Amino acid sequence: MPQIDLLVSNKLGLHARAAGKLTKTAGQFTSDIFITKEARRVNAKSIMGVMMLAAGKGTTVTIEAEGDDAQEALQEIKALFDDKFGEEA
Amino acid sequence: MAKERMTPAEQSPKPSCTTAVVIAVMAHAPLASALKEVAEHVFGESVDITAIDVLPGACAADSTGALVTRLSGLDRGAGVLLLTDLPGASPANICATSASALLNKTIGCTVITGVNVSMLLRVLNYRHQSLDELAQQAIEGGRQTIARLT
Repeated sequence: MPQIDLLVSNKLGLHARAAGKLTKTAGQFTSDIFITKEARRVNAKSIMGVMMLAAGKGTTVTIEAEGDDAQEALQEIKALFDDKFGEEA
Repeated sequence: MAKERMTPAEQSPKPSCTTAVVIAVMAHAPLASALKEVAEHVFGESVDITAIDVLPGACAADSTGALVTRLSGLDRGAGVLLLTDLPGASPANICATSASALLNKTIGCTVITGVNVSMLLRVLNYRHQSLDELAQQAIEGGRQTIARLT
């Protein structure tokens, strides 16, 4: 399954609104997408699952995607993390 | 990589119902509208839910008719999920009598008590599921975030 490690670099981490953006982005793809922090792996399309990872700034998470649009999904999600979820200029 | 087993409820929110269930929150003022505001903050856009704040003194006998009329007008054929706060309190009593009245009009209605932020977010996340599935999501979502943090 294609996967990518991403650093949570925005000040507030994967807080509620960032989790909302991640699940919204993931939900645009048909692929199954998962996010893992340490030993906890959850569906990246589930907002409560993502939020309960409690991934703060400086955390590295792994995103996995499986399906026809997996690579595109990983690119979009990477762009979201790189953009700090649109929270910091 | 270590993997944690997901419950069925945590699987992808794939639509199982083409017509969306009407979601309404009815709670002691200002909780319903506050919950809607939180959901809009989290999702960064307006959310399609009906928030009804119940003011002190409201009772089922006086309020049910207006609520049933309102929800009947919103129903798209998939039914109504009513989320309320305290079992036995006026908002929940109004929901219960309204649900009975809606069922008499052959509109499916399920009332879930104990509404909180995680319940609402979970339901919105899976909002294209059927009424029965959404009711289960609401219960699981509401319980999911109750934990001892420290």
